[in-house]
Amino acid sequence: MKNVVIILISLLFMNFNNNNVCLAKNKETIIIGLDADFPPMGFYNEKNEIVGFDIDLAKAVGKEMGFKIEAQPINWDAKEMELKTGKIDAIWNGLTYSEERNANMLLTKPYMKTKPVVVTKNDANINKIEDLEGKTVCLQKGALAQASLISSEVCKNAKDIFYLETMLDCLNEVKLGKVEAAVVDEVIARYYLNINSKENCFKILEKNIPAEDYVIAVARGNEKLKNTIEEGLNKIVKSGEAARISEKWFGKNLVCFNEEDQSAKKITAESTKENSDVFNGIFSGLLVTLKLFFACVLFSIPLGLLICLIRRRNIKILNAIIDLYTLVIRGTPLLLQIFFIFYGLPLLLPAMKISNRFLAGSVAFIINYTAYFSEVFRGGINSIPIGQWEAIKVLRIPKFKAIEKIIVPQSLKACLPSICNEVITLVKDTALIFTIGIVDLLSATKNAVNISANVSIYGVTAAIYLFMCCILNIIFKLLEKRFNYKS
Amino acid sequence: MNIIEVKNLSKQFLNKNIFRDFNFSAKKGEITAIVGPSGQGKSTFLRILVGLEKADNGTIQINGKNLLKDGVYNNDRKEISDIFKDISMVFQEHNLFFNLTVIDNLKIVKEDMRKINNLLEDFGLAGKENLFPAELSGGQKQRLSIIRSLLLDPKIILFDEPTSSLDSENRVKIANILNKLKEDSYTVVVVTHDERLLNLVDPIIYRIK
Repeated sequence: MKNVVIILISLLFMNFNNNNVCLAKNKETIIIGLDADFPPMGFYNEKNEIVGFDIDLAKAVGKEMGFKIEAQPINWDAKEMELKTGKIDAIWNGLTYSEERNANMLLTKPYMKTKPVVVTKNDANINKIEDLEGKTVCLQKGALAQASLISSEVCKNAKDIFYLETMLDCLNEVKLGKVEAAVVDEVIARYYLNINSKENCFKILEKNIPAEDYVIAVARGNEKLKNTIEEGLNKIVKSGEAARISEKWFGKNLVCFNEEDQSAKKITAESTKENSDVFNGIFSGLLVTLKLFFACVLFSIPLGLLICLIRRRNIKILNAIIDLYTLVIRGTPLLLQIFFIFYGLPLLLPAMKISNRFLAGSVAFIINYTAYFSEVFRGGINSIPIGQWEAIKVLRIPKFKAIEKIIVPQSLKACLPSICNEVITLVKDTALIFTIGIVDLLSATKNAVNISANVSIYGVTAAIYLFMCCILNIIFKLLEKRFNYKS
Repeated sequence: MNIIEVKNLSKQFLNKNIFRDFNFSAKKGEITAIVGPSGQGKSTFLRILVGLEKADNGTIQINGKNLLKDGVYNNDRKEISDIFKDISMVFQEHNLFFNLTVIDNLKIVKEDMRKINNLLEDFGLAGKENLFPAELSGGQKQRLSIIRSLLLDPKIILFDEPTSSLDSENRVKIANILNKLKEDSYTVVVVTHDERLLNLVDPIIYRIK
């Protein structure tokens, strides 16, 4: 049965696996995918518009070649999938050249050079890359620095390596002291050093890492769009427009189109990743998901019950605090709470710093789910007939005994379906922990799909989630049977 | 000696007098019945005696100790605890713990297996230990409820409409139990409007009009 489900789901996704290469051929608007947190290449300004060097460059090319540009923020981690499925027409956002990328996408000739650099705090006792031994380092997920540095001594020596969504997140983590160093593209580091020179708190470690090329990617087979872009680039380089844009953002001309033609580079074999690697990644993601799930269930259910019982004591000030707590927790996104616990709280109260990512994430989940469970239990306890309470009082049954033997079992019967609901929601909510750099089941899946370009992995992961929910369903059915006395 | 002595007791609910200047006393080894039409606060009076509700004015003395004196409640915790130790109540709706079996309904009150087994035997509930309350008949529920109250060795037992939902056979059983309790020198207070029960137990009667 389980196998049938997996196959069906896989087939469902398989349909989208074909290369949709015909896009943008006759379109007037080219959709450009970008990581909108990558200043100065592409980012949101104060007016919430996407601006940047690459945006200006793309617009100039578009003007020259007669098409409009639409900037579409994407998950950088899933850029290959976005292109492959035709959600975007081109990736134009400080995309560095690599053989793997060249194999998966169609790349233009390089138009700029960059290299990954290590950024630390100004006052950090790290002066050369070798000093990173035993330190924590963060990288952007799916960024090239991962590939070029992860194999180098630097990251081998680092104590912990975290992968975050954007380079800006990486720099923020350094600023907040969450990690000791970040590896980011030189352009973003330089841009920050120059723009915020007054309050600048970063320093860049120099290391002779070979420079890499920025290229523009389109879907494989879409030669027409590639040629159009290259022709446009050529024109604006010649007219001096490219140099003008570069000076606006970097203070000097960094555009170096035509200097070197890399399109002759060999296209390497497709994915070199073994399937077993992919599934190892998913398995360790699954372990993280399970760990988070159990931590949350084991703490938030008893805590929810405790809060609900405190509430019943009708102590005005405590009830006001509990009311506020449930209002805030239920009225704000869980994602925001995770950010707040991990990034915000240490700034407000340095003593409350939780430096372990997983722990911070778990705490946020527990705080969130405790609020929901306390309300579920409140409903359950309110459903207990008043006569039961009166009998407990008149028969002078000790409080804890009454709670354990009468109140909890009776209210559990009433609220088991709601608890089941919350627990099943939790299974899926755990995926949110990826936002603070923890690789859970879903984000491991995303990585695996990206690396192997095999969409059927989504089906496998869907089946894993479904399987977990089925098991929970069975457990709750058994529990309901256990409480199936007549009342 | 009057084990319960109530003077000038008043209770209001929503600005309406439920009863006013009510006087009452009950003796050890006697059955005292409070009779009258429903809605006259008979049950409320019992609930005040076991502390489930509070009176507005008057004096309540139980076993020589003041629970309420001239409208002021005793706030000596030790003394209050002693007063309530002497008094128990059998609810009209039984209020058995419906998630617990017969035996667990009793064990949660007092874990004295010898006493529990003797009482189950005496009250004709032996063999029903592992049933849930919902599986018992009305008469069996009533008797289980009485056993539960007796486990704590009270001196006073209050009955709220003990025969309201019972047939005549069970009424006789309850009457026998009340008479037995009287013989064992319990103080029994019964709130009822069941005249046939009154004929079977021959109580001291307080009528509320």
